[in-house]
Amino acid sequence: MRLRRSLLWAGLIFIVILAFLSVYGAFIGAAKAQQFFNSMPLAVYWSVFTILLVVSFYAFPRFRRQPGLLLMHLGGVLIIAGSMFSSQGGHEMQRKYFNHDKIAKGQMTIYEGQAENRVLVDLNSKHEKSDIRQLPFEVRLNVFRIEYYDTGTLAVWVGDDLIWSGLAREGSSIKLPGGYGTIIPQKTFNRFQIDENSVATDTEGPGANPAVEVLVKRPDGSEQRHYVFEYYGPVSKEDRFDMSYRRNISDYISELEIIRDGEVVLKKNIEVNDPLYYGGYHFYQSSFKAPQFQGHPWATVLSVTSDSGLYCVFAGFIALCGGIIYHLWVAPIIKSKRMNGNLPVEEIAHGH
Amino acid sequence: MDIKSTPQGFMIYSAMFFYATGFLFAMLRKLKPANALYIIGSAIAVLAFVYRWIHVRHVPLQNLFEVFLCLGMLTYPITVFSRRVLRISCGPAGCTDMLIGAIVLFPAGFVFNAEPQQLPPALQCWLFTPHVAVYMLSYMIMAKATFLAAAQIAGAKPAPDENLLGYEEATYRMICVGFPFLTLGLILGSWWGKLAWGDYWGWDPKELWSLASWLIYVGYFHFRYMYGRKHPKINSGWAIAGMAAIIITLLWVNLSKIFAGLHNYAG
Repeated sequence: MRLRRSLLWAGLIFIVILAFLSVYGAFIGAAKAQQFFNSMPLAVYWSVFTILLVVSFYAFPRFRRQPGLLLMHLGGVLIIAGSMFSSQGGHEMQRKYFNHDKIAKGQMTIYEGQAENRVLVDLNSKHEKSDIRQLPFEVRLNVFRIEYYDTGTLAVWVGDDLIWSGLAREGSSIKLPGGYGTIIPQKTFNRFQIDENSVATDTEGPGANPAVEVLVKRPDGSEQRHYVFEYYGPVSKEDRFDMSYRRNISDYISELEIIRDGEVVLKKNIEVNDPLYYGGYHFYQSSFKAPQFQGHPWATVLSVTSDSGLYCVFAGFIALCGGIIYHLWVAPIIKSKRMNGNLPVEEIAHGH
Repeated sequence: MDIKSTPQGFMIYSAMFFYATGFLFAMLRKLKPANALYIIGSAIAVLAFVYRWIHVRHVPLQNLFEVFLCLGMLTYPITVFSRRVLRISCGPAGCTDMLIGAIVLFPAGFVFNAEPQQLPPALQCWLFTPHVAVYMLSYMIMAKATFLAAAQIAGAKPAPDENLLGYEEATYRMICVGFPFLTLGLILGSWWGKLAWGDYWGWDPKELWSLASWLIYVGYFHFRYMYGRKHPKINSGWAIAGMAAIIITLLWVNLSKIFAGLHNYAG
């Protein structure tokens, strides 16, 4: 009885400490928080917390009677264990004791038409000795492209003050604050050109010249038509305000190939939310490098992460969530049905 | 103060008006008109959400304006569920829920910008809607639990003729309903983080505040398991602390420059 009471108090103290540490971590920023939560004192904390949970499985007979309760606490153990295994320190230990050498996390920059196997390892880590490590296979970038929404964003400035910003939907009437009149986006262009009849047209072909045609209705009733370009800065000085235009990115896509021993073993177009998985690593669309001059290729920046410990963490998520739902929702319903009446309020109220 | 002279704004202000007048009628014990006003307010709030959905052409849960619009729509279903299924109500005709409805619509009506935005690539994921929706549901349920906890601390009791649960038990049962949603929100977010950024946990301020909120409710369950209803005010204190952490997670983290992170687009 005393052991159980002590375990419960210890559990509560560990929960409160973690809540406070989480708040502290939020104030120091993600990079420092990651280092802090992966530091040696915290590794001790995580280990003791895990041991506490495991010991409680033996100390509390309720865990054996209530599967939901068991499952949610088991989920906690799996999440902590999996996270420790997948951390930089966990990878270091795998290398040291199991001769299992994997890159925990890093980035690859690959230019179009080139294959690359070098990974710039996560520099936040104190464990990685070298800045650059190599994968046992190559990743080739065929094409990198950015896709845009049809409608871009129009912004209206008075001096340095942004007075309005929103989607340049064709035909929408936008009354500007401060008595500056009304603006109506008329037509958006991907590749703006003036044809031989001096008419603005959207033409097919390479390159892009995004623009929007805007009708400005001034407070005095006069009207003026403007073309606002993405690449050529703000316009419309004569209306006491400036307008700028930019297209909105809908997706970043890298067309990748995995090359092993000179052969293409996997092809995939990756985009945000749709990574590539091969050889125990996930490759994510992280960033890109635009050409620095005409003819220079685009480059994609991929984030590379090892899958060590990942499935343990995800199994923990399922166990935690399933256990909580079963214990708090399903079990009371089953209990009430067995009792063949109303919800057993008193039992549920006490029945954590 | 951002007053919206648009159909969207009109709907928000109307819903707020009906919620607030419903609350006043309930306080005056005129329960039937109070309930009618609540239903009308709720119907308008649903309409405002649907209108927004059509207007922005994606599920409107992208920014704080849309999130608060969604919260304003959830109050009435939670009132009905808690009263009919759980036998929980706070104040005459559940008037605190009407007050919650009016409060959560206020930022949508007067604070946040309603200009439609397109979804950035990271938000174009099937997990976007369930992740945010379960969080919104849990937040509203926990908000109700907080009012019940405050009523318990204030020494209030439900009307004896209505066969309702006492406020301490009611708080516990509301948290039992809301906590799995809170957990799902955290886990779906983690899964989505893995898909979008490569990490199931990025130590981002929003993630850490979400974890802190979740842990406070875990602490509540443990404390209540240890002492039952022996210390009802401490139990209620846990519930209120959990809601305080949720408010910080939802508002302060998104709006303050102190917490720069991956969830900036939510502001």
